[in-house]
Amino acid sequence: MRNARIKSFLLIAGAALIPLLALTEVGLMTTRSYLIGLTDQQVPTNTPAKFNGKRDEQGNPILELGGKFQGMTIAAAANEVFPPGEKKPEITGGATGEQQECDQNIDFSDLNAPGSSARVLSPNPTTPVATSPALPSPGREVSKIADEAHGIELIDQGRAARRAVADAALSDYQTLGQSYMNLPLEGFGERMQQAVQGLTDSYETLSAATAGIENAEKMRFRNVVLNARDKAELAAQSIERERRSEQTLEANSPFGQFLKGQLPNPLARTRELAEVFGGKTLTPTQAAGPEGLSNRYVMFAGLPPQQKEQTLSKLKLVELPQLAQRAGGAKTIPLLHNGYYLGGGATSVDCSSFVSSLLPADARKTRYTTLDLMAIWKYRRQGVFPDPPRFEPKRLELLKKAADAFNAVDIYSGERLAVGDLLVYRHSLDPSGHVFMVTAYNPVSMRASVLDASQTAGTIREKELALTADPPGTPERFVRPGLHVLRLKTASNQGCRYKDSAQGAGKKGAGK
Amino acid sequence: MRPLTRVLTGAGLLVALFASGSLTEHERLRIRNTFQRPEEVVSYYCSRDASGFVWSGLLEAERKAFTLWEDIPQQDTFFVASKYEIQPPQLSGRGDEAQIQVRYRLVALGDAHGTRMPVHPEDRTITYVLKKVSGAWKIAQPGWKDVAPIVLEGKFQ
Repeated sequence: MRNARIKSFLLIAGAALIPLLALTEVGLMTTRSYLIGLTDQQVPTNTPAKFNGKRDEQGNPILELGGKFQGMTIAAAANEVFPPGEKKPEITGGATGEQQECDQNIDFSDLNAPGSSARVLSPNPTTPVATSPALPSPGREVSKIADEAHGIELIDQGRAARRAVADAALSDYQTLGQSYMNLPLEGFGERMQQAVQGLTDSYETLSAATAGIENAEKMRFRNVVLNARDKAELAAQSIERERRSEQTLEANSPFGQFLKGQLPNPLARTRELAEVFGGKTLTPTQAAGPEGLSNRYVMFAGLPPQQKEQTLSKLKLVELPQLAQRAGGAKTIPLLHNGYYLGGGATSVDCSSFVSSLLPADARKTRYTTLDLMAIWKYRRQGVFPDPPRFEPKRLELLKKAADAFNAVDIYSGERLAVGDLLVYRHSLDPSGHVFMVTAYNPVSMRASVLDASQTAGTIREKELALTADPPGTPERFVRPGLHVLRLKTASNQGCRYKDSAQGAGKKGAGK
Repeated sequence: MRPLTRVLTGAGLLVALFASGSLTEHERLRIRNTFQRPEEVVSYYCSRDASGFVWSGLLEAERKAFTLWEDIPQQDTFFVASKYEIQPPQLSGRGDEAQIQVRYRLVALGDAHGTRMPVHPEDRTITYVLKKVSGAWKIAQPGWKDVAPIVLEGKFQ
């Protein structure tokens, strides 16, 4: 008890050092960087606040504040320093409007939907944004540090989730490929014929499903299965052609030479088969992308029944949904995937996986599309869902739950991007849509560093986006139209749950 | 006789192309581009697109065989059309470039969850620019970033 009191005293005394630090030259620089919310590059490396990976019972991140406040949540530290009602000290100096040279080579090309710069869309696309924001009070800003730490945590977990998906997809590819390694070509041909039959059955089961799978998933997987079936058919025909031509079957080993960092493709047994299955070797990105997925379907469907059962237990990215059939009864088919969520429910999903599933377009197709995210943004700002678009009633209910995961940020009215924000780009009148995660934002140059996972499953790249087309120094700089910012809440909610506080939460998909 | 045959053949092609857009059977995957004429490439692409294969994820093999794109289109939503019509090609240059217009009658913009938005204008014309590379006609324009999936009502649901 006595120790606890001493500890509390030390913590309070330590917390009181924040404003004092701010008054010193070094402290002022350090604190100011946080207060004005500048980019990572501008924040000194000796950051006094660091997220230690733990949370309190409400799910708030517990930060290390220069080692003096260890074990406290940032909100608690803020209250210690500035109890409610107490006048908070003013800090002068602030942002000096240091105008950085804006890089004119920013890649915004894929955000330039036809006519995008000319379109006037909600939300308030022509609102000018101040380039030299005033300094807010330290107390409020301390909690901003917590938000930033939360954002950093989300980015790390989002990256990890995507990596986990890519690794799992590669692992599955290799697991399935083993069975095809030393197979004679004639046996290979038989497997392709078997795959055609098996995939046709899977397609029919999916088509006849009335429950057990969401419509979007059904449509997407039906096409994936059809592509796989067509590939298997092309492969079977190719082998048959060679057999009929009475030529010696070209028995190229796919396991001879291959480039470093590439996987041997066990399906590429001949030159023609290499064309069908994407080459003699595959890059990890290909193996974890749409090409690899369709190849995995072919390999799985071609396995003899007994081997199928054994292999199924080794696969990481597979779901076994029970699909109610139009003719009555139910069937279960293995659905191989690239980390997509299945089952349609938004609740009980881990928040970081939830967010990472919104980044790649491939995953969004069957989860929450940019059309949904734009509507969620409007719902969070205005309290009602926009109409149009017209949502199915069940879908609307699901979106309302998902909306609870976010706060909507209006950058057109001067609200600022923060680390970990989801930057949704979407025009109402065009299918173009992107979702990025903000890793840093410079309000002076109006440039954001973002994570982009839109290329292929399993890959994430960093890029810079200019939120304005107006050059630096322009009196009024306008934010590009079509940008909606969603900020994930820091505590568990209806849309998703944090691991530490999740009770019985079933984690599906990406992190599997 | 010969010009008449040519006209009839041309009309037949248009009808056939139009008809292919309303079949319920999906356009089978092709890996090799053995098409002799640019309109056949466009017909294949539009038919695959109509069944949702561009939306669900164009395969690398298709991308390489039929387009000059650096990457595959990545859109989570699509236009829904009631019909489309492929116009005759216009050859230019030394006969190694062709422009083909495809006229769509759009009914909505939406996603696979059934969400729908009205579209204006309802008529949309896309001009495909094809180039002949190593004897094969390939789609050069619109680019992969600008292409919007257009599925056919009734064929993709």
